[in-house]
Amino acid sequence: MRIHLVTGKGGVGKSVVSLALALKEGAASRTLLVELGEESFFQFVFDREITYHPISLTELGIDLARWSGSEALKEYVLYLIKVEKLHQLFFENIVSRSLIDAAPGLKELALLGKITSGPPRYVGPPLPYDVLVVDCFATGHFLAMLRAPMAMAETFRFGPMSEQSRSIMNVLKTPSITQIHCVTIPEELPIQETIDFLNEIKSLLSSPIKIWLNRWMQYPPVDQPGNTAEALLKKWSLAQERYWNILSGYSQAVTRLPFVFDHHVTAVAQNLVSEIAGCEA
Amino acid sequence: MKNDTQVRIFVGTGGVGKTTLAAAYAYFRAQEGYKTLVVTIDPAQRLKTALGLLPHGHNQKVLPHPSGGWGDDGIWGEMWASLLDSKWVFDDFVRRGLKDEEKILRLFKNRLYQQLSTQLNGSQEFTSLEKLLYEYESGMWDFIVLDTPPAGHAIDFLKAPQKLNRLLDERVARWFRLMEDGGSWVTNIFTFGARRILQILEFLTGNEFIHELSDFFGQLHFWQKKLEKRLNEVDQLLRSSLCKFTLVTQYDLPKLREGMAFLDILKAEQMNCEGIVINRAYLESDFNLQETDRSDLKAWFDQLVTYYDRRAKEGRSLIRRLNPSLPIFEVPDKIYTFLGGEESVTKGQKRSEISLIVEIARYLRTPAS
Ligand SMILES: Nc1ncnc2c1ncn2[C@@H]1O[C@H](COP(=O)(O)OP(=O)(O)OP(=O)(O)O)[C@@H](O)[C@H]1O
Ligand SMILES: [Mg+2]
Repeated sequence: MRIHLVTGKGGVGKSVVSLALALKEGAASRTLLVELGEESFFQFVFDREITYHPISLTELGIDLARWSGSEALKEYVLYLIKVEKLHQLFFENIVSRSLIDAAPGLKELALLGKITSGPPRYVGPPLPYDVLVVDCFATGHFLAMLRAPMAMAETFRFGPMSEQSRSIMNVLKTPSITQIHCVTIPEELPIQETIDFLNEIKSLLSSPIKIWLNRWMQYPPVDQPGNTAEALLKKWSLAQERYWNILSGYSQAVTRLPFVFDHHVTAVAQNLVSEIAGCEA
Repeated sequence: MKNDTQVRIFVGTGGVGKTTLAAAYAYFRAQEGYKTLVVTIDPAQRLKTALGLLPHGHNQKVLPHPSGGWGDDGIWGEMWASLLDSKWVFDDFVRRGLKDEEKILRLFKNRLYQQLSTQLNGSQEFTSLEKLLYEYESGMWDFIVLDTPPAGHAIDFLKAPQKLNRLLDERVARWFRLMEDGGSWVTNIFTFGARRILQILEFLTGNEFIHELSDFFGQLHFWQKKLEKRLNEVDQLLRSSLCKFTLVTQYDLPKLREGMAFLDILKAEQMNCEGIVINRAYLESDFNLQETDRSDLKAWFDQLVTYYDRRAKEGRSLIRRLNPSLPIFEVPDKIYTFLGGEESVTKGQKRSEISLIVEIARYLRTPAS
């Protein structure tokens, strides 16, 4: 099992890059692309309802699902207590319902539990995939999600929750299983946020993070700016170059993904597949 | 109390420029002579510097740009800005409710409370609404402009407070208080069904967790009614004609469709929308293609401009089709500004961004035709 977790600042192309990663993996392996949370982005791309149970995008060769924390928790509880009746009683009860809705960390824990439910943990119903690509939350929320099992394991030293938390963390910390991707773009605020993110995540995991510098403009070369148009391009490309240098100073694993002059999500992702594959070869 | 404070709430997905646009809106109203307050969440360092924001959420008067004046010919009112400190607002709300110093300390020490006040689902949304209501009740402002917490979806902002309210539902709290008093649920203060549920909960989470949880609820006893009252007041304000939402988005088809779905929900909830702001809608063209004779450059710029045109065309027609009467405000893409100008991030030099706010404010005055 291979798990790809994709994060980045809002709007930098997490979903597009996730789709591209899934398309690349889907060519060789059984691949599931997952979006997290209550709302779906891909429903507006594929004009289909995206549910907890995967649907097949046959034309693209991958499956797609949307996992919300409450559904993941429900599934986990049913898996544990097995008795459908009890399960129903539990989830219809106002106390457990509101706890599940709002208690800190529970949903995040359930989501990470679901993501890591395959080998070697084998907790929950089997997931018939070789590769999971998860289009995760933006960096702040993503870090909060990763901290949930850590905080649980630290706060509560005994009991099932701390045990599960520890085993989830183990999977997340194994580089041969889990790869974290951070998508960013060559602009001031996203780069700043990426650097902050890299610094923060170091304290949680030591595995290397892959950085995708997305929407990289391939400017035509301008050597001696002779007029305003050329001078402007020169200015832009120098500014962009600077971010590449800054990021490269922080990490070895930075790859540029070109700006694709197309505004349709699938077309952009399909254009990025070869770039992603090229970088791994 | 007569209060005709206007409220403007900026919603949208993360990374579209909500904070900057909210500030620009407050600026534009101040320019019209009003006294405005913008409550921001999570602003970029540059924006903090530009607005002179302090930590701890104190309202701060925005001072004119050193280059003099506020630009344009407005009759200047007053612009204030405040940085939402979610933890502080939450703690303060609890302090005001509990009053008893010992109880306050005990609650602050509860491990769940420590996580709750910053990480609980919906706590940031709640604190921003609490701050909004607090400022509204002061009657000090002509306009309060609220920037909303970063979220994957605009709708999260509306959903969050109800979740918090449900967690603190009286029935929930009573269960745990019973446990605090009675010690254990094997005793018969609980019905059979309730005992089974608590057993499942313990089976899932462990004894230690349940203990912390009941301690937490036992102490939040006071909270429920206050919270409910507060949320009701907020709800009324959000539905009143004084309050209008502005959707900030980009010409990005899936996001636009999601945004339009959000507007339908607003309508169903009988809340008002002032308009939709499209950030980075078109390329600001401060270059002149005629000036170059290199055909590859021309072709490249052409490609870029065509890309923007196509998106905008499809975007506009989508909005017109779904919501023909909605005013659209388009703000151009200032690529060089987003690139960060000449400065280096690592050097930590921050240019004042007031000039950008001043510029953007202009686009918020008249809808694009
Ligand atoms: N390499 C690229 N070239 C051109 N356009 C791109 C590229 N990558 C992403 N985009 C465009 O950028 C926009 C934002 O992308 P996307 O929705 O994937 O971002 P996101 O990080 O998932 O956003 P959110 O934080 O809202 O989930 C989309 O319009 C997408 O088509
Ligand atoms: Mg996305």
